[in-house]
Amino acid sequence: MENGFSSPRSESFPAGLRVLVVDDDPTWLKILEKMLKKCAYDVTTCHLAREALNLLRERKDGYDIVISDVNMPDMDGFKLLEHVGLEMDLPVIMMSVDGETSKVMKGVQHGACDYLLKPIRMKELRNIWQHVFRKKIHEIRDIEHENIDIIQMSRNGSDLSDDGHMYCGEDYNSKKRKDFDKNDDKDFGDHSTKKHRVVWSVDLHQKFVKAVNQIGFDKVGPKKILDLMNVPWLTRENVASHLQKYRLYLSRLQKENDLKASFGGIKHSDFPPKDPAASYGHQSSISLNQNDVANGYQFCGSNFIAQDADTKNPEGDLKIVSEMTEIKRTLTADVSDPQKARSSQSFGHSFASLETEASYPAFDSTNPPEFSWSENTETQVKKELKPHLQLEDGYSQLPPHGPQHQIQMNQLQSDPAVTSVVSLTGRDISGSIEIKPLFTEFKSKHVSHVSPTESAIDTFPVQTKSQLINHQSFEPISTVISSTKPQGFNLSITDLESSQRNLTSASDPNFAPINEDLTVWLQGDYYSMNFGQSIDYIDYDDPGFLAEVPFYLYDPLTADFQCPIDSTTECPIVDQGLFIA
Amino acid sequence: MVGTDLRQQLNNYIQSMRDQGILDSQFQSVQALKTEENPHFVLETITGFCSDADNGIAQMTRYLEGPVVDFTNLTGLSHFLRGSSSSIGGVRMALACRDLRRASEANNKQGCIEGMARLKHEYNSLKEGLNNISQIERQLIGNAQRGRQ
Repeated sequence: MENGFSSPRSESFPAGLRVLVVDDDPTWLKILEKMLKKCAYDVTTCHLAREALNLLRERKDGYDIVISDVNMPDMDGFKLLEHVGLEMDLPVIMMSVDGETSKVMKGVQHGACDYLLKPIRMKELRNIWQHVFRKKIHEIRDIEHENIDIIQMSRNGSDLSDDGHMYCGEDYNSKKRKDFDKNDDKDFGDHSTKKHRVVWSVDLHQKFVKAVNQIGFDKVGPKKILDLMNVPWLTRENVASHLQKYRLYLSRLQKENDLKASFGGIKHSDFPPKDPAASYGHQSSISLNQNDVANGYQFCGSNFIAQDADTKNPEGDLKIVSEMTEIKRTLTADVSDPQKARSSQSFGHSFASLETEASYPAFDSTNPPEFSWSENTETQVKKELKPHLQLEDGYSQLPPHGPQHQIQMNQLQSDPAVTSVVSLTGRDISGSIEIKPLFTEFKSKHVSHVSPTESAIDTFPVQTKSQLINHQSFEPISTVISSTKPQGFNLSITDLESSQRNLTSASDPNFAPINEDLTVWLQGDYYSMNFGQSIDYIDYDDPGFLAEVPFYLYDPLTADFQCPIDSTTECPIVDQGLFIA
Repeated sequence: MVGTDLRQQLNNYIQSMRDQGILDSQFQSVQALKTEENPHFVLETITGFCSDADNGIAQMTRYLEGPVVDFTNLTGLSHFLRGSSSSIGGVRMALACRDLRRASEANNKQGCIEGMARLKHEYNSLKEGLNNISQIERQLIGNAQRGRQ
């Protein structure tokens, strides 16, 4: 009984909720159908799991919720549950006459949002709409919290935890914080610590993305991905849940893309910007305080001087690391270009290239053509990064934080001034600054971009330090990005915007702050980043700005997520001086 | 009035079955699903259930009485019938199914034989009661239809 309407419900929600019931018992199917109809739901029944999957696949948005029995002849109910969760991301309710705790637990583990015992009462069915509603709320919340997540992620460095996000209810931010704290001392390597939960590090994620692209996004399955990834300690379930998030992320990305928030918008109000001044000791010209962005990017304790070209001493001193972090942040900030380039791909790549890829091509706005999106972003990022890149000097010493520190400069606007600054050259920066390709593009092209991303990273205009030296211009990258008038960068918000536009045009109008996306995504929570918002970095204090910055840009060392520049506010880059992300 | 008497008769009968534990409140939940558009809902449900149960029990008997006991299928089918019987409120039968399944999962042939016997017994009680209910139901429906005419 599917009605053709795509919209699940009419004004009288939850009436019209489109329910798909799967049960091999015809008696139950008949009864459930009646009961659900009595709730004014729109019911479709099927006897077999395969049939259900076909129905779901045929009409991707044709159902709001699935109710399935646990025991079915052709397919295990849990398996169906998994499929639905991964492919369609619909809430699934399991039911069974058997209420054994182990079974119920298994259901929850596989992602069921509820487990009903037969005989099912009417009142239980009347309430199933809450699962649909809850999911929607969480999605919205995710989007809203993107920035925060990004900030957190950046703080955390590249370590991402795969925190069963699929079990809604969890507060992403708090989770992330926890994770970040844990990761503070972590060795940021690729999946360095096999924790209780899988930590999807940049490197790991990159592998994942690679595998996905190799297989073909439409044909992916956890098993295939797992096989391709060739990570011994990773389980199929880890991949499955990550894939789910990835899909979610991509779809959010798409949404974000559509929204296309203009510059900034990322408000990371949650992140109290660390006092940049403190961190940026060296910055001569950088008055971190000025830039909210700086705040946002505070690399804890890092003397993000990046801007301070002179101070770049690439000798792996802490400063550098911090600088790196900051640069990253800045970059991220830049990246937060409105382009929502959440290219997860680039993300992955970025990470890979974090390792000082000297490959960061100069920041000049030359976008390597290979990446469709990543490149674009890169170019742009580069531009923006310029100022950040200066960090490079500092970065050179930066211990390879591994992919985490890849600063994705997706969005660097091709502000020439900036470009010069951003000499993120991976040359020393272990954590190459990756320009995160816009996710949006990513989505569509990411498969192809996957590789480009890598190259993109290389092309990342890692400006030499000299460029970075330009603190002013450097102005917290975020600032730059925020287009506030960066002191050196002239990246006023308008600039930023225009830069972004440039970027966008360069790469893909859909550029969304890739960083954000990536960061967020890696976090295991694919909230669409507010890329558009990144443009507003202006207010560095606003953590929102950070959101744009791919978390991996953040120096894990610092693990201190500063309040990113508030993208929405005018970027007080000017005020802030060099914001060293 | 006949209608009222019949209805009362039906309710009394159902109550007695509930008192015996053969049926639980689920049966009345099913009854509540009956609508004017579908007055035969309860009848259809009972018919469907009985058909499935007849077949299922026959099949399980074959699994049990074969040269080699097919515990796997026996387990699956006993679980299925547990669900079915619970759908119309046949709680005692459902419990018998549960116990049979446990015995089957343990590859306990003797346990299965005993469980099977009990299951059949419970099913027969339930079936008889459902048949009686169906009879009254049919009369009620008939009367209602005649009343409308």
